[in-house]
Amino acid sequence: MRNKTTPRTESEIESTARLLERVRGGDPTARNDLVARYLPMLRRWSHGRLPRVARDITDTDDLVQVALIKALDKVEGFVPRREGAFLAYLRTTVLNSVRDELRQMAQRPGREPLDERLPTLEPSSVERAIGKEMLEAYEAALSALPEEHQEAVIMRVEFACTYQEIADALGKPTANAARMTVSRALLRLAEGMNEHRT
Amino acid sequence: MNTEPETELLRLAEAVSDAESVDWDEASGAHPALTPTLTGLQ
Repeated sequence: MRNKTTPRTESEIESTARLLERVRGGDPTARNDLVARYLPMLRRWSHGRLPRVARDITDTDDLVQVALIKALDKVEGFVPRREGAFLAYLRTTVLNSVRDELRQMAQRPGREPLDERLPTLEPSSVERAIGKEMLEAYEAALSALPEEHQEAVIMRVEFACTYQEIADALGKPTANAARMTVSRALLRLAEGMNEHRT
Repeated sequence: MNTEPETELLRLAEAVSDAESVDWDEASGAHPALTPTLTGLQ
């Protein structure tokens, strides 16, 4: 995302919203700026979250870049209330785009049958680490959380953002306030995962 | 450690958020009823 020792300034926070406005207005420079801002962290995140087949079939970085560009193509109707919401939107869109891409690739002539290349059969690093059932419980519980809690969990757990970055993205007054939000969100997430598994 | 379950859960959630190591066996032993939620946190 950025140098973790450097707090994000108010002007930088606003600039994401401004960049989105310019993207909606058709400004290609703003698109490039957003890609430069979010592509590195999405690439780092993707190496743990994308199924192995995605990394075997093609270059992961290219896959994520294409997915990010597609996400920006659809951004006209998306007005995030917070920067964290935009990151959560990108995460979902990239995941969906990658799954779509994998299905399309599997259906092309000369490819192996679809079922042999579905992401569910080739676990990601995260899935291998915690197990398919736990990952499904995590995704189900995450989607059931209030948006702010979803964003807090995604930023802290999946993107390893600092508390200051989360505070800036969620509009919290201090890093410690963001820490409390993340902690409460994790607790609700754990309770939700328990409900999902029972 | 003798703490209220909700307080203990929040303390553990903070530890997870801070990426600190947690003795999950000890936590489950102190609050057996919380074990399912502790599994999610873990």
